[in-house]
Amino acid sequence: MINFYVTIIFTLLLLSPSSLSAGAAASHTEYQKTGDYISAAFAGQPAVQGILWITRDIKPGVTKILQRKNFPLRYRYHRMGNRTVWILNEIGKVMPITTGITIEEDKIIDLTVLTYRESHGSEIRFPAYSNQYNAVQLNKNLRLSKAINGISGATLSTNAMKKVSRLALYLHNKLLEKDVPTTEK
Amino acid sequence: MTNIALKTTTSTLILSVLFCTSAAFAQDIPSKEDMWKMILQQQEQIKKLEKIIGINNDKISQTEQKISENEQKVEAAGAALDQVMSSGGQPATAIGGYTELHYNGGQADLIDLHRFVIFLSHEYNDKIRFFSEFEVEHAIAGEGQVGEVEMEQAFVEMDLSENHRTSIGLQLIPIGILNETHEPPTFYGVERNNVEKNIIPSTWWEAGVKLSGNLTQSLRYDLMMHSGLDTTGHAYNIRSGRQKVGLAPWKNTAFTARAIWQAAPGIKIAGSFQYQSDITQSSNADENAAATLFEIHTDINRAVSEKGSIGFRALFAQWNVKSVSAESLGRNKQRGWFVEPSYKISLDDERAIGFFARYSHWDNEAGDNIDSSYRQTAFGVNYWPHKNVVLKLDYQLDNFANIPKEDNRVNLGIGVQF
Repeated sequence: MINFYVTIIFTLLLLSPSSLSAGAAASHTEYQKTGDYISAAFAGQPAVQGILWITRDIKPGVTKILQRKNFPLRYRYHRMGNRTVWILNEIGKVMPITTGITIEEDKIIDLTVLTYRESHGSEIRFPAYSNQYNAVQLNKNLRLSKAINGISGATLSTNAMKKVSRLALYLHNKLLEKDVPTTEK
Repeated sequence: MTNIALKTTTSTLILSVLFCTSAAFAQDIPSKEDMWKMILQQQEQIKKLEKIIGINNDKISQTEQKISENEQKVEAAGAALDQVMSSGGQPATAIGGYTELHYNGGQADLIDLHRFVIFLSHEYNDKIRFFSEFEVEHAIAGEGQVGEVEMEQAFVEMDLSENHRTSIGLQLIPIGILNETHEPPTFYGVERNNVEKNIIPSTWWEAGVKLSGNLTQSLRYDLMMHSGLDTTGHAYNIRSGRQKVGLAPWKNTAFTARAIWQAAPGIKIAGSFQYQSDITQSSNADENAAATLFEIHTDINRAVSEKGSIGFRALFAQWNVKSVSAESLGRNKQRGWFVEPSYKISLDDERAIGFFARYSHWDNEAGDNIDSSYRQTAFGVNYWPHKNVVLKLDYQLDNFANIPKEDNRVNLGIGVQF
C-alpha cells in the first residue's frame, strides 16, 4: 500500500515542473505586471516618470513609517496631474511583497498586490482586504485615517501593507509640495 | 560811414574765423590709409573675441558632458545603493526568526529560553521557493541535556497556477491556529495554549506533499498526504507519537484536509480533518489503530475604533482512535477546546497593549467514565513596545482531575520576531 502512496508522491513531483512550464505564460504569484498596473492607473495615457530623492526633510517621515534606517535613497513614481502611482516593496515575514498604490488628491484610490512571495497570507491580494484602503488618507501623525482589519495568520503581511500605503501617501504629499527637489526621467 | 566800416570789419572777422575752423576740421578727418588700418585692427579684435567665445563654448560643452557623466554616476551609485538598502533589492535568500524567554512561577519556578528559531528561505524564481525553520528548544541540547535541536520545516513550494500551489518536503500540518503561526508576538499568553499542545498536538510537522489554493476569494483549501504518528511505546499518547521525521517509520500514510473561510478581513473560520490508517505504524493488521482527528476553530480580530480592536479565538479538536488497546486506556477519544476573548489598544505606530482571558478544557483519556480532564483559566496582558517585540504576563488557575499536577502560577515572558 505504501508503495502506491510513494508512487503518487513522485508522480506529483514529476508533474509539478511540467505543470509549471505549461502555465508559464500566465502570471502566477505575479498577479499583475507592473507595467499593466501603471498603464491601467492612467487609463493608457502617458504619464511622467520621475524620481523622488529622499532628502533631509523627507527622511524622518520615511524612517518613522518604515521603522528602520535602511531604505532606498529615492523612489520612482509615475504622475499625471495630481494622480501618482508608486510601486513599492516591503517584506512580510521573510519575502518582499510588491504592491502598486495609486493616489489622487491625497487619498488612495487603489491598492493592488502585484507579487506575493510568502507561503501564507496571500489573501491580502483579494479586494475584500485591499478595498479597505480606498479613500484612506494620512493624518498628521503619519498614520492611516482609518483602521484596517488584518488577515488571521498573515499579521506580518498586513503590517507590510499598512507600511507601504502610509509610505506612498507620504511620498505623494511630499512630491506635490513645490519645494521638494525632484528629477524627471 | 562809421557803421558801414564797422559792419565790414565784423564780416571780415567772421569769415576769417570760419575759414580757420574749416581748415582745422579738414585736417582731423583720417585719411583712407588710416581708415583701412583701423578696419584691419577691428577685424583683428573681432577674431580675438571670436576665439574667446569659441573657447568658452568648448568649456560649456565639456561642462555639459561632465554633468551628464556625473548624472550617470549618481544614477549608477543610487541604483547600487537601492539594491543594498531597499527591500526591493532583497537578495533571493532571506533570513528571519523568533525567540522567547519564559519564567514560570509557582511550583515550576524556573526560567527557560524556550525557543530560538531561524527561518531561512530562498526564492529561485517567481514560482519556486524554499522555506526552512531551524529550532533550538530549551537553550541547550545534546546527550542528557534538556533541550533539542530540530528542523521544523524544510520544503519547496511551487506555484501551479495563480490560485494553486504545491509544497513538498518537511512541513507543518495544516491544523489549528498555532501550528503554522506561532511567533510570540502573534498570540496571547506566555506559553502556547494547552489544547493545541496536547490534543492536536502543536507544533506538529511531517514530511509530505501538500496542495493548497484558493477556490474563491474567501475560501481556501489545503490537502496534504504525509508521514504520520507512531504511538508505539507511548500508550496512544498523541503528543508523544510525533516522530519529527527522524528515521521515522512510514508504513502508514496520513491524510489531512483543511478548509478556511475568510468571512471578512479579520474573521476566519476553519476546519480540518485527518485520517491515519494506523497510528502505531504497525504492519500487523490485528494491531492496527486507525485514527481520525477533527478540528474546528475561529480566529477573529476586528477594529472597533481607531485604536481599539477586539479579538476572539475558539477551538475544538477531537481524536478518535479505533483500537481495543486504546479503548482500555480511555485514549480512544482525546479531545479539548478553548475560548479566548481579548482586547487590544494601539498606543502609537508601534506600541500596543492587549488583555486576554482564556478558558481551556482538555482530556487525553476522554474515552472512559473516569474524570481525567484538565481545566485551566488564564488571564493576562501583552505589551508590544514594537510590533515584533512582546512582553507577556499571565496568571493561570488550574483545575485538574489529577490535583497534584495543578500549579496555579504567574508566567512572565519576552518574545521577538524578525
